[in-house]
Amino acid sequence: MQVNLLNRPGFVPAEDIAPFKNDIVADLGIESILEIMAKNDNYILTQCRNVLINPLVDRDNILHRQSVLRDALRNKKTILSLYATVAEVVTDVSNYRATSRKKGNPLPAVRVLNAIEQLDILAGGLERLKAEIVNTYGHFTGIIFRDFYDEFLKEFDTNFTTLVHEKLTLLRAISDGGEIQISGTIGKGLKGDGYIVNALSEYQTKRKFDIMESLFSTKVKKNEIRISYDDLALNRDCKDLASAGLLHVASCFDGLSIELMRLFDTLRAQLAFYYGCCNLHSHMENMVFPVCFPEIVDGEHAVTADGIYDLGIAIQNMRIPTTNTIEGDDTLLYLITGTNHGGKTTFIRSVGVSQLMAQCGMFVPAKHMTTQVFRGIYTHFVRNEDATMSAGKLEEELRRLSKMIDVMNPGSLIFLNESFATTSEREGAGIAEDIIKAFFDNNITVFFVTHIYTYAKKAYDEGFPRTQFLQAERTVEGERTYHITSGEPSITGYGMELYNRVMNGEKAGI
Amino acid sequence: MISLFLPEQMMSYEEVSQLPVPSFFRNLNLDQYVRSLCEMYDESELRPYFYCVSRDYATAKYRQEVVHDLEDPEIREAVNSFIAKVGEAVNCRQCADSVSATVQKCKWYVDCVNAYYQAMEDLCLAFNRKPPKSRAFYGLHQELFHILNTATVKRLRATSKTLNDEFAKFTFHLTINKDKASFDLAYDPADYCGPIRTALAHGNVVLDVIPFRDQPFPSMDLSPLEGFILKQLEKENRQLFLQLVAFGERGPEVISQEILDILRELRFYLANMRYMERLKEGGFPITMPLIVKDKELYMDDCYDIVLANRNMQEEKEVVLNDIMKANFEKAIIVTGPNQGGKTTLARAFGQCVYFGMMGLYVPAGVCKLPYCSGIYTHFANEEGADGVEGRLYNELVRIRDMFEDLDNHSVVILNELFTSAPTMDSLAMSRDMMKRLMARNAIVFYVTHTFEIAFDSDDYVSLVATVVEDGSFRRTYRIIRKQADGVAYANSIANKYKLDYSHINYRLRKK
Repeated sequence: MQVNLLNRPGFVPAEDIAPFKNDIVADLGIESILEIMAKNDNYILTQCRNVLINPLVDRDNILHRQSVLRDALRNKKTILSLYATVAEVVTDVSNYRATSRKKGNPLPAVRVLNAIEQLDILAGGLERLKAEIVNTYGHFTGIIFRDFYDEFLKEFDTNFTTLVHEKLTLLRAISDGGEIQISGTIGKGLKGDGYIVNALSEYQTKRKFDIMESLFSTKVKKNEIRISYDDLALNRDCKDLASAGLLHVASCFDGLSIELMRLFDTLRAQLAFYYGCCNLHSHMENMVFPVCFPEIVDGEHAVTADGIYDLGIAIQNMRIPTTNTIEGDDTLLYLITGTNHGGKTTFIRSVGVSQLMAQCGMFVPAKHMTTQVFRGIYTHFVRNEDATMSAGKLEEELRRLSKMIDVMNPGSLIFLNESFATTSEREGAGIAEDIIKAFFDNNITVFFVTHIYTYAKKAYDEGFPRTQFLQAERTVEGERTYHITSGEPSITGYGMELYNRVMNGEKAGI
Repeated sequence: MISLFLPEQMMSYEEVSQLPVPSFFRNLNLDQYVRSLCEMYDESELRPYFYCVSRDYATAKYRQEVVHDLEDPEIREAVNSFIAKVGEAVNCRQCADSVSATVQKCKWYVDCVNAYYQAMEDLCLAFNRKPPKSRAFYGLHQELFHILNTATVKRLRATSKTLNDEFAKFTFHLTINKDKASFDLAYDPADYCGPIRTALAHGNVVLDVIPFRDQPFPSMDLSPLEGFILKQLEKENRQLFLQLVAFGERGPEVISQEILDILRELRFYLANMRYMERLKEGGFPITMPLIVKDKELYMDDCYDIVLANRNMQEEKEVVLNDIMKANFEKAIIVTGPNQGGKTTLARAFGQCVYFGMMGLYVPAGVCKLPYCSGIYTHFANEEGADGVEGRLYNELVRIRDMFEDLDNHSVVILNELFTSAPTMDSLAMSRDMMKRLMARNAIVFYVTHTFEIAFDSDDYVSLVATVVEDGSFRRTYRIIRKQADGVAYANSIANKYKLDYSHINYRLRKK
């Protein structure tokens, strides 16, 4: 059966719209968020990372996830117990596989037992999950979870589970000794071929009668010939053929085995994400961090948010940092200048994290957010904040950017943080101008944190269309508020001032 | 018999095995390609075919047609199944040789005859359904059809088919208990698994009866139980068993060496296609080149296939480069710093020519290729050189010998000549040599330190390996068409990464 908790039925993964995953994780500070989601569970960590680094372009799918997640948040305990049950089954099976694999290439009779035991574990797991689902029936109010429950119960109804149970019990009994009937034909090279199993029946313990029967057999059919077990070679062949027959019957369950394994795996992967979301949500609630589900609009250039903050920093500092407001108005370029350590990076990171979470169908760290679906999310941060003038760095930077452009779609979103600063101001401005203009003309939304005053000033003076000029705010006394406000680009990042203050022993206030 | 390799005559595997390794093989890393391919698909038998290079336009085209046909999934499947079935026939033949019981020997022979001609018939039928376009497959179709319709083959097939049908009717039924077993010659069609599989399929009815997946008695000989069963069958059907032995013991050898040769040729094409398709899945472009009679040439996004294979495993990148020359241009001169990827480019160039002439895909995105009558390479630092003078001497002798064979469709790849001579001498020698090469009208790819050569003629294309312009002179392995300048690698980094407005715009719009 299909599990559609993460994606809508028939969802086909679109092209990768965030191909620079390591960059995104590092630049946006995703790891600390993932840690809270995973609570030391490596599997959940991997799954949540996997979802977070693969944002969606399909708006309906985003809304689908939002609706499942809302339901999950209302039923955190149920999510936890469902996840635990499923995870346990998967672990049991892989443990069993690991131990039985160690024993090397077993005899046919042992292979039969292994196959049956693995099936037993899966069938038992299915029963436990079914019980769990029956117990929590009605907890979820959302249509998607309810459909999943109903479909599950329909697919694995009592007839089905009873049949599996019966057949497995019989197989086990017969592997201990019973009767098997096999038919075959003559194939290539006169070898036996086309073997099928006709019947299985349990071992009759009425041994006395058997002896009587064999002595005064009337039941033996006319053409039936006894195979003497006194001939040890024939005896061994018969046993091997019987084992092959049992294995063949056990292999009927291969499809079910695979199906159940896939079901448990998928279910575990999908629940892991919601489990992680529950963990994160509880954490945010406990810390009294604002949280909301973003409204995803169908249009373009519509990013507005208020009370938006950098979740990664909030988690690390265990308190809510300065929040900001963003009022996109058909804006394609956000040009952010101003004070060093004035909160510029934190600002674009807060937008980046929120947008990423929004496009993964999650809640976002903000009081309110309305946003669109971007056709790609990219981050281009200068790794070392105190970047020196070295063309080796510029080379690295531009190569990275060039690779992004190779795959970038029009309609994407990119965060440039201090890009092109590793060369002279004039050259940097030249490069920036070309690149930003090309982005602009291809409908790519850019958040550009820059110290290239020449470029920012020119953009301001020429009145670039669809551009917002933002600044790291300073009070009249020169104090940083870490707020981002709109205003004319200023000539310096006040870096020297910060430097002096720090070097002269004053506290920088960070 | 027709050959899939040569349009005119056929070469037996034995003859192909006598071919020497072409002199350019090592320089172009092709020895490594062959080794890697043979290891990957366990096909060391195919090695000699790599040395069977076509030297004219017609042969290259002839081979390309075969590959084009094999690109068709239907034909490819039919050919794969032909290979498998003939393989099965060969297998049955070997079993007939290896087993000891006469009656079983004879049955293996019958099975071999059946599989062998069935393979041919199936391929003919597939070719009827989907007529191949290549002359080679067309010819093969004709020949197979002819073989199948000779009186001897028809007789052979009829008898072996009758025997086979009779034996296929035999059945047996066993009841096995812990302490007893019994046997009869009935067949119970009841399939215990059917209902289980139907029940597990969530209500879908499963009708197919699937027999045991694995042979319970895998040896080719009869197991004791099989022998026992057969003895019972023989008692009841003595006449048929006698017929089988009579036919099997006097039957002629059916598998012909020629068909086995065709099979190897098919495997050669398929192994190469698979190998290259694998690279394609790894993100490297491959393409079937357009082979032309004039001398216009381009290889967009070409690369060294051996390097690509290695780097794909290590998940490292390979820089793709463009090589281009117009019809009138006669030589490509590559200059630039050491370790800048020049030798790799020379190999990529040579490989494109080689694979193109083999009728196979080439390691490039788009490729137009003048047909090539022979590839001649000379790479510096080859072994067997004694002292400075000895080395130069050897070099000159080899070049002189090479000149004897050159014609106007030869491809000459030179990598760093005369390095042991003083620069001025080296330049003079290079100039003279180029003049001679031009007189022969060969296509020349020349990697050199003496960048002045590139200015000597308007008929030369100049390619330059670029470095990072930051004083560190780090290599980019990107080689671009521009004026040779000896030292100044002056194009800006941004231009190198195509980050000016029009390029970005173009790159973004492409999607």
